[in-house]
Amino acid sequence: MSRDSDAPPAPVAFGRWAVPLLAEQLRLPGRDVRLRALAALIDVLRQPLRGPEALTEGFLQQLKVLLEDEDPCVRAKVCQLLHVLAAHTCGRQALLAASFLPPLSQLLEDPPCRRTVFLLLSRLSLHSSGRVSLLTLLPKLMKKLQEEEEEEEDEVQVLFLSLLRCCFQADPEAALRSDAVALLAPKLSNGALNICKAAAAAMMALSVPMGGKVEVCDQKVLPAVAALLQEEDEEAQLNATGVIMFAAVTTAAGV
Amino acid sequence: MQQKHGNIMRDPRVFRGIASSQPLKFAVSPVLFMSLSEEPTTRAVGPKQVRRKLRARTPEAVQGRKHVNVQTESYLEELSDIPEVKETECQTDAFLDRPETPIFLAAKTGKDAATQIYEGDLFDFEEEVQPILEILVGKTLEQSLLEVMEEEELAALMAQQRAFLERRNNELPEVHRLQEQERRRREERERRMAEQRRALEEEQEVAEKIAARALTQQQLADLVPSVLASLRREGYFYDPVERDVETHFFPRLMDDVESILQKNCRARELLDGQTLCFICWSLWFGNLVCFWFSNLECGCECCSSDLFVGQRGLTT
Repeated sequence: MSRDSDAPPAPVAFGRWAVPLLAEQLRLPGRDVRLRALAALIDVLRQPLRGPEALTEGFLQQLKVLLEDEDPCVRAKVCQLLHVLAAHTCGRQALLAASFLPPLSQLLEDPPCRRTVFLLLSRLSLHSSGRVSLLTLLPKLMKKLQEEEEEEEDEVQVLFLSLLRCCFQADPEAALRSDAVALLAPKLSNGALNICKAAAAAMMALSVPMGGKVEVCDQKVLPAVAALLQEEDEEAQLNATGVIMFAAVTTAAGV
Repeated sequence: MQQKHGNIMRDPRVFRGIASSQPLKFAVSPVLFMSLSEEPTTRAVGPKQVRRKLRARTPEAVQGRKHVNVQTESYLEELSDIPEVKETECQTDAFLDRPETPIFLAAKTGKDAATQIYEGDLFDFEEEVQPILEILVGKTLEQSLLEVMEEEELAALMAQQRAFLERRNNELPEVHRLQEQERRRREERERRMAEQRRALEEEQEVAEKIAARALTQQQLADLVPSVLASLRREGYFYDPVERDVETHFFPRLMDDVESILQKNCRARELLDGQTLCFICWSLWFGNLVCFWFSNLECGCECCSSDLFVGQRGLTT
Protein backbone atom coordinates (compact mmCIF):
# COMPACT_ATOMS: atom_id res chain seq x y z
CA MET A 1 0.00 0.00 0.00
CA SER A 2 2.76 2.45 0.90
CA ARG A 3 4.61 1.50 -2.23
CA ASP A 4 1.65 2.56 -4.31
CA SER A 5 1.08 5.85 -2.61
CA ASP A 6 4.72 6.71 -3.07
CA ALA A 7 4.50 6.14 -6.81
CA PRO A 8 5.89 9.08 -8.75
CA PRO A 9 3.22 11.37 -10.11
CA ALA A 10 2.43 11.32 -13.80
CA PRO A 11 4.12 13.91 -16.01
CA VAL A 12 2.22 17.14 -16.10
CA ALA A 13 1.64 19.10 -19.28
CA PHE A 14 2.37 22.78 -19.30
CA GLY A 15 -0.19 25.51 -18.90
CA ARG A 16 -3.80 24.99 -19.84
CA TRP A 17 -3.46 21.39 -20.83
CA ALA A 18 -2.31 20.09 -17.47
CA VAL A 19 -5.66 19.30 -15.96
CA PRO A 20 -7.51 18.06 -19.06
CA LEU A 21 -4.77 15.60 -19.97
CA LEU A 22 -4.60 14.24 -16.47
CA ALA A 23 -8.35 13.93 -16.45
CA GLU A 24 -8.10 11.82 -19.58
CA GLN A 25 -5.66 9.57 -17.83
CA LEU A 26 -8.15 9.03 -15.05
CA ARG A 27 -10.47 7.35 -17.48
CA LEU A 28 -7.98 4.65 -18.36
CA PRO A 29 -8.57 1.25 -16.79
CA GLY A 30 -5.15 0.71 -15.21
CA ARG A 31 -5.01 1.17 -11.44
CA ASP A 32 -1.42 2.43 -11.32
CA VAL A 33 -2.08 4.93 -14.07
CA ARG A 34 -4.99 6.29 -12.13
CA LEU A 35 -3.03 6.53 -8.91
CA ARG A 36 -0.24 8.43 -10.58
CA ALA A 37 -2.62 10.75 -12.38
CA LEU A 38 -4.39 11.45 -9.09
CA ALA A 39 -1.12 12.21 -7.34
CA ALA A 40 -0.15 14.60 -10.14
CA LEU A 41 -3.55 16.27 -9.99
CA ILE A 42 -3.23 16.82 -6.27
CA ASP A 43 0.13 18.51 -6.80
CA VAL A 44 -1.15 20.69 -9.61
CA LEU A 45 -4.35 21.76 -7.93
CA ARG A 46 -2.64 22.48 -4.64
CA GLN A 47 -0.82 25.40 -6.26
CA PRO A 48 -2.59 28.63 -5.49
CA LEU A 49 -5.11 29.89 -8.06
CA ARG A 50 -5.08 26.65 -10.00
CA GLY A 51 -7.73 24.90 -8.01
CA PRO A 52 -10.75 26.28 -9.84
CA GLU A 53 -9.41 24.98 -13.17
CA ALA A 54 -10.70 21.57 -12.30
CA LEU A 55 -14.24 22.61 -11.59
CA THR A 56 -15.77 21.46 -14.84
CA GLU A 57 -18.85 19.31 -14.81
CA GLY A 58 -17.29 16.30 -16.48
CA PHE A 59 -14.34 16.21 -14.16
CA LEU A 60 -16.47 16.22 -11.05
CA GLN A 61 -18.65 13.45 -12.40
CA GLN A 62 -15.54 11.46 -13.13
CA LEU A 63 -14.39 11.92 -9.56
CA LYS A 64 -17.76 10.83 -8.30
CA VAL A 65 -17.46 7.61 -10.26
CA LEU A 66 -13.98 7.05 -8.89
CA LEU A 67 -15.22 7.47 -5.33
CA GLU A 68 -16.94 4.15 -5.73
CA ASP A 69 -13.89 2.39 -7.07
CA GLU A 70 -12.95 -0.97 -5.52
CA ASP A 71 -9.42 0.01 -4.67
CA PRO A 72 -9.13 1.79 -1.32
CA CYS A 73 -5.98 3.65 -2.40
CA VAL A 74 -7.82 5.23 -5.29
CA ARG A 75 -10.67 6.24 -3.01
CA ALA A 76 -8.27 7.75 -0.49
CA LYS A 77 -6.52 9.74 -3.20
CA VAL A 78 -9.80 11.02 -4.59
CA CYS A 79 -10.78 12.17 -1.11
CA GLN A 80 -7.48 14.02 -0.80
CA LEU A 81 -8.11 15.67 -4.15
CA LEU A 82 -11.57 16.77 -3.07
CA HIS A 83 -10.05 18.09 0.14
CA VAL A 84 -7.68 20.27 -1.92
CA LEU A 85 -10.55 21.44 -4.12
CA ALA A 86 -12.62 22.39 -1.10
CA ALA A 87 -10.07 24.95 -0.04
CA HIS A 88 -11.68 27.41 -2.46
CA THR A 89 -15.17 28.80 -2.06
CA CYS A 90 -16.14 28.05 -5.62
CA GLY A 91 -14.84 24.54 -5.10
CA ARG A 92 -17.03 24.08 -2.07
CA GLN A 93 -20.04 25.40 -3.88
CA ALA A 94 -19.38 23.17 -6.86
CA LEU A 95 -19.01 20.12 -4.63
CA LEU A 96 -22.27 20.84 -2.89
CA ALA A 97 -24.07 21.52 -6.14
CA ALA A 98 -22.81 18.31 -7.70
CA SER A 99 -24.27 16.37 -4.77
CA PHE A 100 -21.16 14.74 -3.46
CA LEU A 101 -22.58 14.25 -0.04
CA PRO A 102 -24.25 10.84 -0.48
CA PRO A 103 -21.12 9.04 -1.73
CA LEU A 104 -19.05 10.81 0.91
CA SER A 105 -21.36 9.65 3.62
CA GLN A 106 -20.80 6.09 2.38
CA LEU A 107 -17.10 6.62 2.71
CA LEU A 108 -17.40 7.53 6.37
CA GLU A 109 -17.35 3.83 7.11
CA ASP A 110 -14.18 3.29 5.14
CA PRO A 111 -11.08 3.19 7.35
CA PRO A 112 -8.43 4.68 5.03
CA CYS A 113 -10.61 7.51 3.79
CA ARG A 114 -12.34 8.36 7.03
CA ARG A 115 -9.95 11.02 8.26
CA THR A 116 -9.80 12.80 4.90
CA VAL A 117 -13.56 12.70 4.56
CA PHE A 118 -13.93 14.30 7.97
CA LEU A 119 -11.45 17.02 7.05
CA LEU A 120 -13.29 17.58 3.81
CA LEU A 121 -16.65 17.83 5.55
CA SER A 122 -15.28 20.26 8.09
CA ARG A 123 -14.04 22.43 5.22
CA LEU A 124 -17.44 22.23 3.58
CA SER A 125 -19.03 23.41 6.80
CA LEU A 126 -17.05 26.62 6.90
CA HIS A 127 -19.89 28.45 5.23
CA SER A 128 -23.45 28.43 6.46
CA SER A 129 -24.87 27.07 3.23
CA GLY A 130 -22.49 24.17 3.57
CA ARG A 131 -23.70 23.55 7.09
CA VAL A 132 -27.27 23.50 5.93
CA SER A 133 -26.38 20.89 3.34
CA LEU A 134 -24.55 18.91 5.97
CA LEU A 135 -27.72 18.63 7.95
CA THR A 136 -28.83 15.95 5.54
CA LEU A 137 -26.03 13.85 6.98
CA LEU A 138 -27.17 14.42 10.52
CA PRO A 139 -29.17 11.19 10.98
CA LYS A 140 -26.23 9.14 9.82
CA LEU A 141 -23.89 10.96 12.15
CA MET A 142 -26.21 10.48 15.09
CA LYS A 143 -26.37 6.78 14.31
CA LYS A 144 -22.61 6.70 14.21
CA LEU A 145 -22.51 8.39 17.56
CA GLN A 146 -24.75 5.71 18.90
CA GLU A 147 -22.84 2.72 17.68
CA GLU A 148 -19.52 3.97 18.91
CA GLU A 149 -16.42 1.85 18.45
CA GLU A 150 -13.49 2.29 20.74
CA GLU A 151 -10.81 1.40 18.21
CA GLU A 152 -10.98 4.69 16.38
CA GLU A 153 -8.05 7.00 16.69
CA ASP A 154 -8.37 10.10 18.77
CA GLU A 155 -7.86 12.41 15.87
CA VAL A 156 -10.72 10.90 13.93
CA GLN A 157 -12.94 11.14 17.01
CA VAL A 158 -12.03 14.78 17.49
CA LEU A 159 -12.78 15.52 13.85
CA PHE A 160 -16.08 13.69 14.12
CA LEU A 161 -17.08 15.65 17.19
CA SER A 162 -16.13 18.98 15.62
CA LEU A 163 -18.24 18.06 12.62
CA LEU A 164 -21.10 17.32 14.96
CA ARG A 165 -20.60 20.71 16.53
CA CYS A 166 -20.98 22.38 13.13
CA CYS A 167 -24.18 20.47 12.48
CA PHE A 168 -25.52 21.36 15.89
CA GLN A 169 -24.77 25.00 15.33
CA ALA A 170 -26.77 24.93 12.13
CA ASP A 171 -29.83 23.23 13.54
CA PRO A 172 -29.81 22.28 17.20
CA GLU A 173 -33.49 21.40 17.27
CA ALA A 174 -33.10 18.48 14.92
CA ALA A 175 -30.23 17.16 16.97
CA LEU A 176 -32.16 17.48 20.19
CA ARG A 177 -34.98 15.52 18.68
CA SER A 178 -32.60 12.64 18.04
CA ASP A 179 -31.43 12.58 21.63
CA ALA A 180 -28.05 14.12 21.08
CA VAL A 181 -27.44 15.18 24.67
CA ALA A 182 -27.77 11.70 26.05
CA LEU A 183 -25.49 10.28 23.40
CA LEU A 184 -22.88 12.97 23.88
CA ALA A 185 -22.74 12.83 27.65
CA PRO A 186 -20.47 9.77 27.95
CA LYS A 187 -17.87 11.46 25.76
CA LEU A 188 -17.38 14.21 28.26
CA SER A 189 -15.75 11.90 30.71
CA ASN A 190 -13.80 10.00 28.12
CA GLY A 191 -10.08 9.51 28.54
CA ALA A 192 -8.36 11.86 26.12
CA LEU A 193 -8.48 15.58 26.68
CA ASN A 194 -9.06 16.37 23.03
CA ILE A 195 -12.17 14.27 22.93
CA CYS A 196 -13.52 15.91 26.08
CA LYS A 197 -12.83 19.34 24.63
CA ALA A 198 -14.57 18.55 21.39
CA ALA A 199 -17.51 16.97 23.19
CA ALA A 200 -17.84 20.04 25.38
CA ALA A 201 -17.82 22.28 22.33
CA ALA A 202 -20.57 20.19 20.78
CA MET A 203 -22.54 20.34 24.00
CA MET A 204 -22.17 24.10 24.01
CA ALA A 205 -23.71 24.27 20.57
CA LEU A 206 -26.52 22.03 21.75
CA SER A 207 -27.34 24.11 24.78
CA VAL A 208 -28.12 27.25 22.84
CA PRO A 209 -31.85 26.67 22.39
CA MET A 210 -34.12 26.49 25.36
CA GLY A 211 -34.89 22.81 24.96
CA GLY A 212 -31.23 22.02 24.93
CA LYS A 213 -30.66 23.88 28.16
CA VAL A 214 -33.44 21.99 29.80
CA GLU A 215 -32.09 18.68 28.62
CA VAL A 216 -28.61 19.51 29.75
CA CYS A 217 -29.94 20.13 33.22
CA ASP A 218 -32.10 17.06 33.12
CA GLN A 219 -29.46 14.66 32.04
CA LYS A 220 -27.12 15.76 34.80
CA VAL A 221 -24.36 16.61 32.42
CA LEU A 222 -23.18 19.55 34.44
CA PRO A 223 -21.01 17.69 36.94
CA ALA A 224 -18.97 16.15 34.14
CA VAL A 225 -18.65 19.55 32.54
CA ALA A 226 -17.56 21.08 35.81
CA ALA A 227 -14.85 18.45 36.06
CA LEU A 228 -13.47 19.80 32.80
CA LEU A 229 -12.99 23.15 34.40
CA GLN A 230 -10.27 21.71 36.51
CA GLU A 231 -8.17 20.90 33.46
CA GLU A 232 -5.31 23.20 32.65
CA ASP A 233 -5.98 23.41 28.95
CA GLU A 234 -7.43 26.78 28.06
CA GLU A 235 -9.75 25.57 25.41
CA ALA A 236 -11.19 22.85 27.61
CA GLN A 237 -11.94 25.43 30.25
CA LEU A 238 -13.43 27.68 27.60
CA ASN A 239 -15.79 25.07 26.30
CA ALA A 240 -16.84 23.92 29.73
CA THR A 241 -17.49 27.52 30.74
CA GLY A 242 -19.55 27.97 27.63
CA VAL A 243 -21.78 25.05 28.44
CA ILE A 244 -22.31 26.19 31.98
CA MET A 245 -22.92 29.74 30.83
CA PHE A 246 -25.64 28.71 28.46
CA ALA A 247 -27.22 26.36 30.90
CA ALA A 248 -27.13 28.80 33.79
CA VAL A 249 -29.61 31.04 32.09
CA THR A 250 -32.41 28.73 33.08
CA THR A 251 -33.80 28.75 36.53
CA ALA A 252 -33.46 25.01 36.91
CA ALA A 253 -29.73 25.13 36.47
CA GLY A 254 -29.44 27.78 39.13
CA VAL A 255 -30.94 25.28 41.47
CA MET B 1 87.96 44.29 -59.54
CA GLN B 2 84.80 43.11 -60.95
CA GLN B 3 84.69 39.51 -61.69
CA LYS B 4 83.28 38.70 -64.98
CA HIS B 5 80.58 36.18 -64.79
CA GLY B 6 81.19 33.36 -67.07
CA ASN B 7 78.60 31.70 -69.08
CA ILE B 8 76.75 29.34 -66.86
CA MET B 9 76.40 26.90 -69.70
CA ARG B 10 80.24 26.66 -69.80
CA ASP B 11 80.82 26.59 -66.13
CA PRO B 12 82.58 23.38 -65.27
CA ARG B 13 81.24 23.44 -61.87
CA VAL B 14 77.66 22.90 -63.10
CA PHE B 15 77.06 19.31 -63.46
CA ARG B 16 75.61 18.04 -66.63
CA GLY B 17 74.14 14.80 -67.54
CA ILE B 18 72.49 12.05 -65.68
CA ALA B 19 73.18 12.02 -62.04
CA SER B 20 74.18 8.36 -62.06
CA SER B 21 76.65 8.51 -64.91
CA GLN B 22 79.60 10.66 -64.07
CA PRO B 23 81.67 10.74 -61.00
CA LEU B 24 81.23 13.64 -58.70
CA LYS B 25 83.69 16.34 -59.58
CA PHE B 26 84.11 17.82 -56.21
CA ALA B 27 85.24 14.53 -54.81
CA VAL B 28 88.31 14.82 -56.95
CA SER B 29 91.48 16.33 -55.62
CA PRO B 30 92.22 19.82 -56.70
CA VAL B 31 95.33 18.78 -58.63
CA LEU B 32 93.27 16.49 -60.75
CA PHE B 33 90.76 19.19 -61.23
CA MET B 34 93.34 21.57 -62.39
CA SER B 35 94.74 19.12 -64.83
CA LEU B 36 91.30 18.44 -66.14
CA SER B 37 90.63 22.04 -66.56
CA GLU B 38 93.73 22.57 -68.67
CA GLU B 39 91.93 21.47 -71.72
CA PRO B 40 91.61 24.19 -74.21
CA THR B 41 88.52 26.10 -73.76
CA THR B 42 86.92 28.74 -75.79
CA ARG B 43 86.99 30.91 -72.82
CA ALA B 44 89.29 33.84 -73.02
CA VAL B 45 92.30 33.46 -71.01
CA GLY B 46 92.63 36.46 -69.00
CA PRO B 47 93.54 37.83 -65.73
CA LYS B 48 90.73 35.83 -64.23
CA GLN B 49 92.33 32.56 -65.17
CA VAL B 50 95.65 33.71 -64.06
CA ARG B 51 94.24 34.81 -60.87
CA ARG B 52 92.65 31.46 -60.45
CA LYS B 53 95.89 29.67 -61.08
CA LEU B 54 97.77 31.78 -58.73
CA ARG B 55 95.22 31.60 -56.04
CA ALA B 56 96.54 30.09 -52.87
CA ARG B 57 95.33 26.65 -52.44
CA THR B 58 95.24 24.28 -49.59
CA PRO B 59 98.80 23.35 -48.81
CA GLU B 60 99.95 19.96 -49.95
CA ALA B 61 99.63 17.11 -47.54
CA VAL B 62 102.59 16.12 -45.49
CA GLN B 63 104.63 13.22 -46.68
CA GLY B 64 102.85 10.02 -46.10
CA ARG B 65 99.51 11.67 -45.47
CA LYS B 66 96.75 12.38 -47.73
CA HIS B 67 94.12 15.06 -47.67
CA VAL B 68 90.78 13.55 -47.21
CA ASN B 69 87.53 15.30 -47.68
CA VAL B 70 85.51 15.30 -44.51
CA GLN B 71 82.02 16.41 -43.95
CA THR B 72 81.71 18.92 -41.20
CA GLU B 73 77.97 19.06 -41.04
CA SER B 74 76.31 17.94 -37.91
CA TYR B 75 74.54 15.17 -39.57
CA LEU B 76 76.78 13.00 -41.57
CA GLU B 77 75.53 11.60 -44.76
CA GLU B 78 77.00 8.89 -46.80
CA LEU B 79 78.25 10.29 -50.04
CA SER B 80 78.19 7.98 -52.93
CA ASP B 81 77.70 8.33 -56.58
CA ILE B 82 75.82 5.19 -56.87
CA PRO B 83 72.43 5.87 -55.57
CA GLU B 84 70.52 3.09 -54.12
CA VAL B 85 68.31 1.55 -56.60
CA LYS B 86 65.59 -0.80 -56.00
CA GLU B 87 63.52 -2.23 -58.69
CA THR B 88 59.88 -2.71 -58.25
CA GLU B 89 57.29 -3.44 -60.74
CA CYS B 90 53.60 -3.70 -60.67
CA GLN B 91 51.18 -5.10 -62.93
CA THR B 92 47.46 -5.06 -62.53
CA ASP B 93 45.79 -8.39 -62.38
CA ALA B 94 44.60 -9.29 -65.86
CA PHE B 95 41.34 -10.62 -64.54
CA LEU B 96 40.46 -7.80 -62.21
CA ASP B 97 37.51 -5.68 -63.13
CA ARG B 98 38.01 -2.25 -64.14
CA PRO B 99 37.75 -0.23 -61.01
CA GLU B 100 35.07 2.37 -60.87
CA THR B 101 35.74 5.77 -62.00
CA PRO B 102 36.48 7.84 -59.01
CA ILE B 103 33.94 10.45 -58.16
CA PHE B 104 34.54 13.66 -59.83
CA LEU B 105 35.45 16.28 -57.38
CA ALA B 106 35.60 19.64 -58.91
CA ALA B 107 38.71 21.51 -58.32
CA LYS B 108 38.44 23.75 -55.39
CA THR B 109 37.89 27.30 -56.25
CA GLY B 110 37.69 30.18 -53.96
CA LYS B 111 39.70 31.29 -51.09
CA ASP B 112 40.25 29.19 -48.07
CA ALA B 113 39.31 30.89 -44.90
CA ALA B 114 39.81 29.63 -41.39
CA THR B 115 38.65 30.78 -38.05
CA GLN B 116 39.29 29.81 -34.49
CA ILE B 117 36.83 30.18 -31.60
CA TYR B 118 38.39 30.90 -28.31
CA GLU B 119 36.92 30.65 -24.80
CA GLY B 120 34.29 33.24 -24.11
CA ASP B 121 33.73 34.21 -27.77
CA LEU B 122 30.40 32.54 -28.39
CA PHE B 123 28.87 31.84 -25.03
CA ASP B 124 29.28 33.83 -21.86
CA PHE B 125 27.66 31.93 -19.05
CA GLU B 126 27.29 34.93 -16.79
CA GLU B 127 25.30 36.90 -19.35
CA GLU B 128 23.16 34.08 -20.63
CA VAL B 129 22.18 32.83 -17.25
CA GLN B 130 20.86 36.14 -16.05
CA PRO B 131 17.41 36.18 -17.70
CA ILE B 132 16.84 32.53 -16.86
CA LEU B 133 17.75 33.17 -13.26
CA GLU B 134 15.52 36.20 -13.16
CA ILE B 135 12.56 34.20 -14.41
CA LEU B 136 13.24 31.30 -12.09
CA VAL B 137 13.66 33.44 -9.07
CA GLY B 138 10.74 35.62 -10.02
CA LYS B 139 8.40 32.73 -10.56
CA THR B 140 9.45 31.04 -7.38
CA LEU B 141 8.93 34.21 -5.45
CA GLU B 142 5.59 34.76 -7.08
CA GLN B 143 4.45 31.24 -6.32
CA SER B 144 5.62 31.42 -2.76
CA LEU B 145 4.01 34.83 -2.32
CA LEU B 146 0.75 33.44 -3.60
CA GLU B 147 0.95 30.49 -1.26
CA VAL B 148 1.80 32.68 1.68
CA MET B 149 -1.00 35.05 0.80
CA GLU B 150 -3.40 32.17 0.51
CA GLU B 151 -2.40 30.90 3.90
CA GLU B 152 -2.70 34.34 5.38
CA GLU B 153 -6.09 34.76 3.80
CA LEU B 154 -7.23 31.51 5.27
CA ALA B 155 -5.83 32.45 8.63
CA ALA B 156 -7.57 35.80 8.45
CA LEU B 157 -10.83 34.07 7.58
CA MET B 158 -10.46 31.66 10.46
CA ALA B 159 -9.62 34.52 12.79
CA GLN B 160 -12.67 36.40 11.61
CA GLN B 161 -14.83 33.37 12.16
CA ARG B 162 -13.38 32.89 15.59
CA ALA B 163 -13.98 36.51 16.45
CA PHE B 164 -17.54 36.18 15.26
CA LEU B 165 -18.05 33.02 17.28
CA GLU B 166 -16.65 34.71 20.34
CA ARG B 167 -18.95 37.67 19.92
CA ARG B 168 -21.83 35.33 19.37
CA ASN B 169 -20.98 33.33 22.44
CA ASN B 170 -20.71 36.48 24.43
CA GLU B 171 -23.95 37.95 23.28
CA LEU B 172 -26.11 34.85 23.01
CA PRO B 173 -26.23 33.91 26.70
CA GLU B 174 -26.76 37.54 27.54
CA VAL B 175 -29.71 37.54 25.18
CA HIS B 176 -30.95 34.30 26.64
CA ARG B 177 -30.53 35.58 30.13
CA LEU B 178 -32.53 38.66 29.32
CA GLN B 179 -35.13 36.58 27.58
CA GLU B 180 -35.33 34.30 30.56
CA GLN B 181 -35.60 37.27 32.86
CA GLU B 182 -38.33 38.76 30.74
CA ARG B 183 -40.15 35.48 30.69
CA ARG B 184 -39.93 35.13 34.44
CA ARG B 185 -41.16 38.64 34.98
CA ARG B 186 -43.97 38.19 32.57
CA GLU B 187 -44.99 34.96 34.20
CA GLU B 188 -44.88 36.58 37.60
CA ARG B 189 -46.93 39.46 36.38
CA GLU B 190 -49.46 37.24 34.79
CA ARG B 191 -49.66 35.06 37.82
CA ARG B 192 -50.28 38.08 39.98
CA MET B 193 -52.85 39.43 37.61
CA ALA B 194 -54.56 36.09 37.49
CA GLU B 195 -54.59 35.96 41.23
CA GLN B 196 -56.01 39.43 41.42
CA ARG B 197 -58.63 38.59 38.91
CA ARG B 198 -59.56 35.48 40.77
CA ALA B 199 -59.82 37.43 43.98
CA LEU B 200 -62.05 39.95 42.30
CA GLU B 201 -64.20 37.24 40.89
CA GLU B 202 -64.53 35.60 44.21
CA GLU B 203 -65.54 38.82 45.78
CA GLN B 204 -68.06 39.39 43.13
CA GLU B 205 -69.38 35.93 43.54
CA VAL B 206 -69.67 36.40 47.23
CA ALA B 207 -71.53 39.64 46.76
CA GLU B 208 -73.85 38.03 44.28
CA LYS B 209 -74.48 35.19 46.60
CA ILE B 210 -75.32 37.53 49.37
CA ALA B 211 -77.62 39.53 47.18
CA ALA B 212 -79.24 36.42 45.88
CA ARG B 213 -79.71 35.10 49.34
CA ALA B 214 -81.28 38.34 50.49
CA LEU B 215 -83.56 38.43 47.54
CA THR B 216 -84.64 34.89 47.91
CA GLN B 217 -85.22 35.37 51.53
CA GLN B 218 -87.30 38.40 50.76
CA GLN B 219 -89.25 36.53 48.19
CA LEU B 220 -89.61 33.49 50.20
CA ALA B 221 -90.89 35.51 53.05
CA ASP B 222 -94.27 35.98 51.50
CA LEU B 223 -93.99 32.89 49.47
CA VAL B 224 -96.13 30.74 51.61
CA PRO B 225 -99.09 33.09 51.89
CA SER B 226 -98.92 33.89 48.21
CA VAL B 227 -98.74 30.25 47.38
CA LEU B 228 -101.73 29.56 49.52
CA ALA B 229 -103.55 32.49 48.03
CA SER B 230 -102.82 31.43 44.52
CA LEU B 231 -103.84 27.90 45.27
CA ARG B 232 -106.98 29.15 46.71
CA ARG B 233 -107.39 31.32 43.69
CA GLU B 234 -106.83 28.44 41.38
CA GLY B 235 -109.47 26.60 43.21
CA TYR B 236 -107.47 23.88 44.77
CA PHE B 237 -109.23 24.42 48.05
CA TYR B 238 -112.82 23.93 47.32
CA ASP B 239 -116.03 23.22 49.05
CA PRO B 240 -117.19 19.83 47.79
CA VAL B 241 -120.93 20.70 47.86
CA GLU B 242 -120.33 23.86 45.98
CA ARG B 243 -118.17 21.95 43.48
CA ASP B 244 -120.77 19.35 43.04
CA VAL B 245 -123.45 21.95 42.43
CA GLU B 246 -121.19 23.66 39.95
CA THR B 247 -120.18 20.55 38.05
CA HIS B 248 -123.42 18.80 37.85
CA PHE B 249 -126.33 21.12 38.48
CA PHE B 250 -125.32 24.22 36.72
CA PRO B 251 -124.47 22.64 33.36
CA ARG B 252 -127.81 21.02 33.16
CA LEU B 253 -129.47 24.22 34.10
CA MET B 254 -127.53 26.11 31.52
CA ASP B 255 -128.34 23.55 28.85
CA ASP B 256 -131.97 23.92 29.52
CA VAL B 257 -131.72 27.67 29.40
CA GLU B 258 -129.83 27.44 26.23
CA SER B 259 -132.36 25.27 24.53
CA ILE B 260 -135.15 27.62 25.50
CA LEU B 261 -133.22 30.56 24.24
CA GLN B 262 -132.43 28.74 21.01
CA LYS B 263 -136.05 28.13 20.47
CA ASN B 264 -136.72 31.80 20.96
CA CYS B 265 -134.04 32.66 18.54
CA ARG B 266 -135.28 30.33 15.92
CA ALA B 267 -138.74 31.79 16.20
CA ARG B 268 -137.38 35.27 15.78
CA GLU B 269 -135.35 34.23 12.79
CA LEU B 270 -138.34 32.79 11.07
CA LEU B 271 -140.18 35.95 11.69
CA ASP B 272 -137.32 38.00 10.35
CA GLY B 273 -137.26 35.98 7.22
CA GLN B 274 -140.84 36.42 6.49
CA THR B 275 -140.62 40.14 7.07
CA LEU B 276 -137.71 40.40 4.69
CA CYS B 277 -139.55 38.52 2.00
CA PHE B 278 -142.41 40.89 2.20
CA ILE B 279 -140.15 43.91 2.05
CA CYS B 280 -138.44 42.60 -1.02
CA TRP B 281 -141.67 42.01 -2.84
CA SER B 282 -142.94 45.48 -2.05
CA LEU B 283 -139.67 46.98 -3.20
CA TRP B 284 -139.81 45.15 -6.54
CA PHE B 285 -143.18 46.49 -7.25
CA GLY B 286 -142.10 50.00 -6.45
CA ASN B 287 -139.16 49.46 -8.77
CA LEU B 288 -141.37 48.79 -11.70
CA VAL B 289 -143.19 52.03 -11.09
CA CYS B 290 -140.02 53.99 -10.90
CA PHE B 291 -138.72 52.41 -14.06
CA TRP B 292 -141.67 53.67 -15.89
CA PHE B 293 -141.07 57.08 -14.38
CA SER B 294 -137.47 57.06 -15.37
CA ASN B 295 -138.33 56.69 -18.99
CA LEU B 296 -139.98 60.03 -18.64
CA GLU B 297 -136.65 61.44 -17.37
CA CYS B 298 -137.83 62.14 -13.97
CA GLY B 299 -135.22 63.54 -11.63
CA CYS B 300 -137.07 62.87 -8.47
CA GLU B 301 -135.35 61.77 -5.44
CA CYS B 302 -136.79 58.33 -5.26
CA CYS B 303 -135.34 57.51 -8.67
CA SER B 304 -131.85 58.51 -7.81
CA SER B 305 -131.79 56.76 -4.58
CA ASP B 306 -129.42 53.96 -3.97
CA LEU B 307 -132.13 51.53 -3.31
CA PHE B 308 -133.51 52.24 -6.64
CA VAL B 309 -130.10 51.77 -8.23
CA GLY B 310 -129.73 48.64 -6.42
CA GLN B 311 -133.07 47.49 -7.62
CA ARG B 312 -132.13 48.38 -11.09
CA GLY B 313 -129.04 46.42 -10.71
CA LEU B 314 -131.14 43.55 -9.69
CA THR B 315 -133.32 43.75 -12.76
CA THR B 316 -130.64 44.40 -15.38
